[in-house]
Amino acid sequence: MAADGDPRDDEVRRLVARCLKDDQAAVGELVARYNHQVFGLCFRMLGQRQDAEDVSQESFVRAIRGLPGWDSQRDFAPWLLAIAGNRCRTFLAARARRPRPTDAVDDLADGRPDAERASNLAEEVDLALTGVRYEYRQAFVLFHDQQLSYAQIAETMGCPLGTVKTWVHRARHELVERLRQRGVVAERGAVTEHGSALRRV
Amino acid sequence: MRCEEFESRLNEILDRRRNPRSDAELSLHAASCNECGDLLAGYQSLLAGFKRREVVAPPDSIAANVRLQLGQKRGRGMWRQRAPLALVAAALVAVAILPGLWNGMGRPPIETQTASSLVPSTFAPATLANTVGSAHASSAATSSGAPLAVLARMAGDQVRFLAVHSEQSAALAWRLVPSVEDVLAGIEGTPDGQRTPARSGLNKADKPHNPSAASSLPAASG
Repeated sequence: MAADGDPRDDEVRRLVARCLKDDQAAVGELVARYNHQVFGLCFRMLGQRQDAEDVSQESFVRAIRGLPGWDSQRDFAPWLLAIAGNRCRTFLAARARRPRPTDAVDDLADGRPDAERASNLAEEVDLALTGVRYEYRQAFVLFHDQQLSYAQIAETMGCPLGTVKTWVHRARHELVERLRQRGVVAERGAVTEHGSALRRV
Repeated sequence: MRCEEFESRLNEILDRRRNPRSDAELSLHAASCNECGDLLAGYQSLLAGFKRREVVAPPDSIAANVRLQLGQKRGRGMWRQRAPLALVAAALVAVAILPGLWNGMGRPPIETQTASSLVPSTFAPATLANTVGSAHASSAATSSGAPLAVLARMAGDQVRFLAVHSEQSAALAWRLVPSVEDVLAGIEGTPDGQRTPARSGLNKADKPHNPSAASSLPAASG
């Protein structure tokens, strides 16, 4: 939620007001201000740099065209990240519909996490992240990567705060499970038994 | 603390962005329980690995591309808004210019026009005779050309009517009419080209009511 009297929020409102007056410099400033957040989210959700660039760009264009619909009493970042999240989801759905690339094209490095190539913990985490359900992944990235509060994530994802908490907890649990299956973290006798851990969450 | 509570307690601490090791109760239980100790180690590895990931900087080109894309869309929007106006303007210009071109193209001023130059090419005696004559020949077996003759006569009446009411030159109309009459004569006349009595000259009803205008009419030149 927007903090009352926060100078950063006032600055964003002024920037938005200038954007609405077709001030190109303000558009540049707004993009520069949120570029890291939007691109970071897109990159973590899509796992590929070029796709993240395209979707970030599209998200900004949509957001700026939709600025008249933004409620200035609310935080700007969750609103913007909601647009980016929706674009990522649409992009992933389109990617899933596309035919699989040939083996030759598959060999080309595209920046996506690769099970064969993951050589350290960070790469393993990225790889594990790609296998988690979309909502869990988005909630996890917004919480741990973007450092958003649960309230902001709930606003971004358009769901109750309790649901967001559950998604983040399940994401953590599932990620640890995946890391364990890959032999990255130590086995835990009780957790390897099917479903025993899930019941605790 | 019981093992069933351990993971939810761990999540609570992580939700507050605190280090689980800083929680005494949690640390104590993890130290005494291998399963929960491994679980805590797993969570810590996950978050450590997540923090260690490469920070990917966004390209600088995004802002410029966004502005470019917005500009292009704005341009398309403006064209969409203005297109109907442009079409209306183009239509008005066309309406204003084309009749002038049509009237003025390759024609001498009205004073110097002759009757034959004012007759559209389709009404020129030779053209009309050929066109109607051939049509007449093809349909002679069934209708003996009567409908074509009626049509041609109606066209002649139209030309005459327009010319008479134009106030510019009633005389001009009378110069045109005999041309059409000639055509009719060519269609319906005798094989040697002589006019039939019914079509020769003008009926009295066809003449203008203004006797002075009628008296000033020149003789039909044919």
